[in-house]
Order: sequence, then C-alpha cells, then structure tokens
Amino acid sequence: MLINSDFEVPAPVEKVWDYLLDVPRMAPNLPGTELTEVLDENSYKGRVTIKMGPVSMRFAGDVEIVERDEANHKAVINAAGADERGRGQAAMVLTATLAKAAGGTKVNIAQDLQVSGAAAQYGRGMITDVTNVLVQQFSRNAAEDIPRWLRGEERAAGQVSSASGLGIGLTAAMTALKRVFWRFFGSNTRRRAAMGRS
Amino acid sequence: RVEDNRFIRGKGNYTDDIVLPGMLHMEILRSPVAHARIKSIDTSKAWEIPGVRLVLTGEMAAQRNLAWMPTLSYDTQAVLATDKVRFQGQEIAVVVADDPYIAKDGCEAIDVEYEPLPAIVNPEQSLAPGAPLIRDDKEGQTDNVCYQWEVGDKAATDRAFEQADVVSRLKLHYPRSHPSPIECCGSIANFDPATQKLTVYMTTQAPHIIRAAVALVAELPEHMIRIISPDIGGGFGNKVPVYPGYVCSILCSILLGKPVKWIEDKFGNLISTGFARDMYFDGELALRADGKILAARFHADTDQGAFFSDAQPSKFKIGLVHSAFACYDIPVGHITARGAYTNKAPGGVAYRCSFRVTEAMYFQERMIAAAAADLGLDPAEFRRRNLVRDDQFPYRTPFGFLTDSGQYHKCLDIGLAAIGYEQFLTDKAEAAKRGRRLGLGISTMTEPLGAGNSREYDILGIKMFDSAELRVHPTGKAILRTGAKTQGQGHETTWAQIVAHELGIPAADVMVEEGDTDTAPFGMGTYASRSTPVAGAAVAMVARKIRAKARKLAAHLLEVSEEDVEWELGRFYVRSAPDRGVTIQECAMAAYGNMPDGMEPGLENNAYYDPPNLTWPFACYIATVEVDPETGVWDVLRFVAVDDCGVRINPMIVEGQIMGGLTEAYAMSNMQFITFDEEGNCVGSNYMDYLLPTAWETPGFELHEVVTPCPHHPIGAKGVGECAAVGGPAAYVNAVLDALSDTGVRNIDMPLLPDRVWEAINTRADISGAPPVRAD
Repeated sequence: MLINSDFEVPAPVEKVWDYLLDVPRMAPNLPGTELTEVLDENSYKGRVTIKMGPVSMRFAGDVEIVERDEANHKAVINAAGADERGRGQAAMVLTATLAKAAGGTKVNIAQDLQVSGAAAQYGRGMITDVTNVLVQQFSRNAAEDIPRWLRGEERAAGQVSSASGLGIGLTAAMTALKRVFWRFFGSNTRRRAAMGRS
Repeated sequence: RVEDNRFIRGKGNYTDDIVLPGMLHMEILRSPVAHARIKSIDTSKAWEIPGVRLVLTGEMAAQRNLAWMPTLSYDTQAVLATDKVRFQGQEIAVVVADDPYIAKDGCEAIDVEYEPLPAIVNPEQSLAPGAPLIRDDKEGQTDNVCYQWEVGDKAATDRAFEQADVVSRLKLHYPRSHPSPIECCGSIANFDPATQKLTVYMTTQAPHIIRAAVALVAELPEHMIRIISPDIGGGFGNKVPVYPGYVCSILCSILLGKPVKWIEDKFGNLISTGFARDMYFDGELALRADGKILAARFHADTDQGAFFSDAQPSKFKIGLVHSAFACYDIPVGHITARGAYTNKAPGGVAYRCSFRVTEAMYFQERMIAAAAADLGLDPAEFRRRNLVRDDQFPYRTPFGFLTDSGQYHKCLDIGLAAIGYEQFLTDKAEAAKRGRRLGLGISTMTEPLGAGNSREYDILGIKMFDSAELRVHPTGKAILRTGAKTQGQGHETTWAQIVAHELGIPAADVMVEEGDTDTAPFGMGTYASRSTPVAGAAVAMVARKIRAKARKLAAHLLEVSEEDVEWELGRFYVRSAPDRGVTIQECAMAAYGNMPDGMEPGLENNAYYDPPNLTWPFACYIATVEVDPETGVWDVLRFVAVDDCGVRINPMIVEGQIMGGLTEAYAMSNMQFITFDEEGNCVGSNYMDYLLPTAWETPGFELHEVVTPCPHHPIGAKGVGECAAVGGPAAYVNAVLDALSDTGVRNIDMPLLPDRVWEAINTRADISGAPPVRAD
C-alpha cells in the first residue's frame, strides 16, 4: 500500500533535515508510537499501538535509518514489527524528501506499508483509510512540532496520543466516504488498476 | 419434519453440547501472514500459564509423523506448519488447557518469528514465470502448477470452430466463496488409555470416511475407532474434509489420555476451512448463423490455495467441470484445466454441488446468454434450438457423460409461461423509454448428482456406494440406519417415508439413526446430493428385502403358498379371498414367534446400493430484475423455478431445498465473496465482510415442477439438494446483464455489487473481480 503526503514547514531545509533524523524527537509524530530503546544513531526499537473497532494491536519492532542522502535531502527509514500477541505483522519503508519551498521547506513523505493479520482483515479495506488518517496525523503533528523544536521547546503536551478513539474512526469513515464519492465522480483508472486489470 | 420437533425447541444435540468428564479444551494458533518462513517458535511463555496442559507444535507432531497428512486429492497438507506458513490462518500450534479461554491466552503467548515471503493471491500471478515457489516441500515441484487436465476431442473441435459462422467468447471469474455453515467445525477426541479405544464426536458429513482416514493417517486399528457425528448445524460441503483441528484434537487426546474438545470460531472457519469455487474461465462457442451450436471449448484455471485438498471423489482432477453443456446437443468439445497453488486457504469443497459443477453450469449459462446476444437471437429460442430433445435419451455428451432422461423443452416452456415472457419483453421496452432498466435472465441446466458409480468414483480407494440397515421389531416398529449423515436435509423424515411407502409401516413407527460408525452400516456420507440417489435407494432396497421375507411369513400365517399372496400397502392377502389377510405388523410378530420350520428368526436386513449412473435432474430458472442506473443497485422482481428432480418423496422438503438453494444463489450473485488484498490478507473472514442474506433481502420464489422419473433409481428419484444453488446464480446475473444489454458490457464478475454494476454502466467496460496483486 503506497501512501504519499506533502506538507510545508516555515523553516530552512537544513534545519528540517536535522529534525527528521532526530528519531527520538520525530517518532512520536506517528500517533500511538513510543520509542523504547536507542541502539545507535541509526537503529531504534519501539512500539506502535493501534485500535481499530474490534481490534487492538500493539506492534513491537525495529526502526532503522537505511539511507541518509544529505546532498539530496532524502532519507529512507525501514520499520518492521509484529503484534505482541501474534496477530499480525507490519512493515513500512518511509522515504522522506525535503525541497526548498517559498515559505520554507516542502516535506514529502512516501510510505509503502505492508500490513498483515487481524488489522487488515476487517471492513473490506478499512485499513487503507485508517492508514491514510495516521499518515495525515503524522504530517500534521510534524508540521506543528518542527517550529517548537526550532525554538528549543519540548513537544506540546498531549500531542503523543495512541491511535485510537472516536477521532480516527470518524476521520477514517470520512475518508471512506470521500473515496466512494471520488470513485463515482472522479476518474475510474485508479480503481481499474486496483482490481488487477490491464 | 420429525427432526424439527427438537430443533425448534433448541433441543438439538450438537458437538459443542457434548461434555465429557475431565474434558480439556484446545485452541489453534493461526498464522497472521500469508507466506513466510518460520524462523523460530517459542512456546515457553505459554507453558508457564496456569491451566495449560499441552502446547503442541509442528515439530512435536512430526515426531509422531503427523506434521503432514494426505489429502483427498492425493496431495499432502500441513497439519501444523514446520517449515513455512503458506496461507493466512494456517495452523501453527495448538494449546490444550482447562478451559477454552486459558487455551486462547496460551496461543497468544506463543512467540513465532516469521521471515516474510511474497504472497501470491491469484493463478495469473502464481503461474507467471519466476513466481516464488509455494510448495518447496514437494520433491520435484519446480513451479506452482498443481495439476493439468484435459478432456474432449481437440482436433474435431478445432475443425468445427473453423466452420463456424460466429464464434462467441466469454471470460469470467467465479469468485471464492465459503459454505459458511452457522455451526463451525469441531471435535471431541476421547482416547481411553485403558481400553485403547478412540471415540471422536465431530462435525462430519461422512463419518465412515473419517474413520478410515484416521485409521490410515494416525495408524490406529480401525475397529478401535468410533466416529460419532451428532446433530450438524449445516454442512454444505464444508464438513467433508479432514481438517488439522480434528487431527490435533485426536493427537492431543492420545498424548494426554483425556478427552480434548476443539470448537472452531467463525473466523477460523471462514479463514481456514474448505472454500469453494475460485475459478477463471475463458471459453468459446462455435455457432452456425441459424443458432445451432457446433462446438464448445474452454480453459479453466483454478485457484487451489496452498494445498490441493479438494474434497472430491471422482477420478477427474477437476471434478465434474466437464458436465458443462450437458443439457445441450453439442457434437464436439474440448476442455483444458489447470490448478494453481496460491497463498490462500486450501480445500476446495463442493459447496452445495457435485465437485465444480456449480462453476461449470454458471459458465455454461453465461456463455449461452452471451452467444445468443452475439447471434442476435432471443435467448429462450436459442436454448430451444439446442436443448437435447426428449427422444434423444440416452444421450452421450461430448465429454463422456451419459444423460438418461428429461423433458427440457417442457420445463423451459412452463418457466416462460409462468414468468409471462412475451409480456415482460413488452414491459421492458416500455420501461426503457422512460429510462428504466429491466432485465430477464434464464438458466437451464442438467447437473450430475449422486456420486457416484464405482467405475469412476472412490475415496481412498473405497467405492461410492451407500447402505441401509433395517430392523423391524416384534411389534412392527422399526429402526433404520444408513451410511449417510443428515445436516438439515431431513433424512429422518424422508427415509421413514420411503420405508412407509415400501412396507406400509407408518412413518412415525420408524426411528432413523445415522452418524455413529459403531452402529451404522458402512457408507460414504452426505454431499453431492447423493443421499436420496444412493442411500435413499439403499433404503428402498432393504425395505424390499424385508417385504420379501414378510411375504413368506404371510404365506405361512395364511396357510397358502407364497405365489397366492398379494401385497397392498401394509398388508398381505390371499389372492382368491382378499378379506383374508395379515398386516406387516402381524408378520413382524411372527418373525420372532411363529416362523415356519427352517426359517431363520428375526426381521432385519441390510442393503448396499452402487448406482449404475449419476442422476440427472433438470432445472429452468428465470429471474426478472430492475437495475437502478443511478446507484447500480438491482432488485429481483420475480423468480420462477421449474425443477425436474424425478419422483418427489416429500414435496415440502424438496421445496425447502429449492428455496434454500435459490437463496444461496442469490447471495453468491449479489453480495458474497471471500477476497484477498495484495498481501494475502483474507478480507471476508468475518460476518461483517462475508455477507449472508436474510429474509429481508431475499426475494420470493415461485416454484413449479415437472416429473421425469430416473430410469435407474428404485423409486425414480434424482436428488435435489443442490440444483438451485448450482443453476440459480446465472439466472440472476444474466438478468442484470440483460438490463445492461445496450451498454455492450459482456461480463461483470460476481458478486454484482452496486459499485461494480454502476461502474459497468458508466464505463461500458467489463468488470473483473480477481484479487489485486502488488504492482511493484
């Protein structure tokens, strides 16, 4: 599952680059994440808790920065984990690319997410919508946190939440609705590709 | 139905109702991933949980030579995974504990480390060059081809196609569905270390086959195994195979010396047990301009899942898919078929049909509709020109079947008259002027039932006969046991009626008992609509044997010679003096107290019936629908069913079977499928996603009948359990596509969800339902 998102922050590219590689600071932007161990500057251990309707899963796993291309301001981060009760696996390749923009820096986050197990089995594709919400929240949290980080402030209290509750459900439902309307009134090419047709 | 007395009172006795002293509970740990190498399994935390008695892994099962088991299709299947997991939901370990909740906690405490492998979710992906090998456990297996098979005359078929005026082509996918009985699978294995006897209560449609399989797989002596199949809450084919859960409960009971109960949950049932269908067809008809079909050919790719464990007893790798087009007079044909391993649950079962017949008939009737459209011919008239005529029986199909009886044109005409065909065509044209989309779909088909004859059908080498044992007690009451096993078909009512019909003993005086291998005669179980064609025939035969002995007793009591005794229902009388007679009950008493010199006492017997041929019921189903072009939602306006299932023993049960089948057909065409995402996640392993129709959305059905007795069955019955589920789906789908005929859309894969229909209307393109694959 490929998910792409863009956001802008009012800060120079070099500063945002440093933030991005400050994994302990950046990781909590993804709702439900906690970093449990720093192995070295490229390797970390952590947990992500996701609650989706009847399913609550806690993924524990490893995060690794596998590529730091300072010249192009591109970083690739691998994350892989398994539910602590054995009901699923998740793996993600996150590619972050920074570019100069009028107001500061444009951040592009491309995520290739593979989820298997209980979380992926419900609601005829609900996981896509939930993941989209998580990525949106990740981007929003990062956009909020970078200025604070620049000012040398701590992360805002209460920002580190678990990915749960009514909020995600509602936003995911809205995403699903939007997708339906988009399918009806938008182009049909994406869906045909998704159905495995040439 | 006599059985309803206990069912509607909630007094049925199902596997989960049975509680044995000292019984422990087993739960299964299933794989969350579709394809991965198992790097390690750590069970230490599970063993630490108080109340956990046993944690069984594949490695431990392997020490007893039970990590793998043979399948009914001569492949092997993992009982507990040792090397790799090959589908999501695969069994990895089991935990036995004092209660099921502790056992579940034990499963969650097992730590399995997986090394993910690419997941394969459809045959195209599986059979592509360079696809990852799923069955690396099989020596000599270098690709994901499970089998290849063909039948027919290729050269003659190719020649016929060269001479055709029109060649009509259709590609479609029959989606993966699941029989989804409300009661899931389960077993209670009780190995008694003192007597060395193993008793297993289990949800099985075929207890004797299970006993033979357990004897062969677990290497236990067959006489020390007793399989009891109590009341079953629906089977539909799902309870024919041997599942790892059964095997594990038996192994755990042997290891612990205690009864071990395993009751599957709904998720486990939908994700891991026998699926149905999942076939891809690509076929053609060679047509003459006047509407005559010259030849048929098609290729079928089947998604077999991770192991080839189709529960089918024919000698044909792909079951009876070559029964396609059997009701049409087509001179030649050619079929090729291929099975593909994928990372999906194994165990293709014949969901309410005889081994791939539903798929065959669906493709046939969709192809017939497409061909009629290509020719510009009325679909009813096109069928009329090609259906086998009454004077052509016995008729040999191009693929080798022998159909023996039927009145196909009569059934079609009754159906058309009932639906008001001409009037509907007028109404449809009128409605079209106002932008409304009405459609009519026909499905006519004859299907092979009642597996089978011993030339072509066996399970583990045992031929597909069935049996009945009848004991008439001194007072004229009786107990009947058969080798079949009812799962809601109403055997207790129907068998008693056959005995009543043959012997004149009131049906209420006949107790019917099935499902206990220690008491029932050896039989092959209930599926493929074989109960009435095979076991029902045995019931009639054994009753006739009893009557023959009763005749001798009557002659003795009436003091005349046997030739002078005449029979009327329930009574023998002297031909020259009809008022001098004895009842069957008086004969029964005499069998125990007043038999003639030299006659063995008692009035009991058994019969084994090996059918000379399959039975061939015929059906004509006609649906009319209205499609809402704005939303893609379609409603059934009317549904007419004309069934010729031969002689009907109990019309109420027959009609119940037809309505049930049409409901399941509606579900398949409208809402139901088990699909997968590109990671091999099963989307459809719960009732939130796998939809069952309720009384709310199910349309009403208008039933009609034609009776053409089966020429080789003792009472002329042909079987009926599956016809409607087999022939029904094409009627609904043909109707919806008829409503879309101006769009040029040839096919929408089932289920015809509103978004698929809407998309077809708006894009004027066919809609495929094949699972998506990763683009990278």
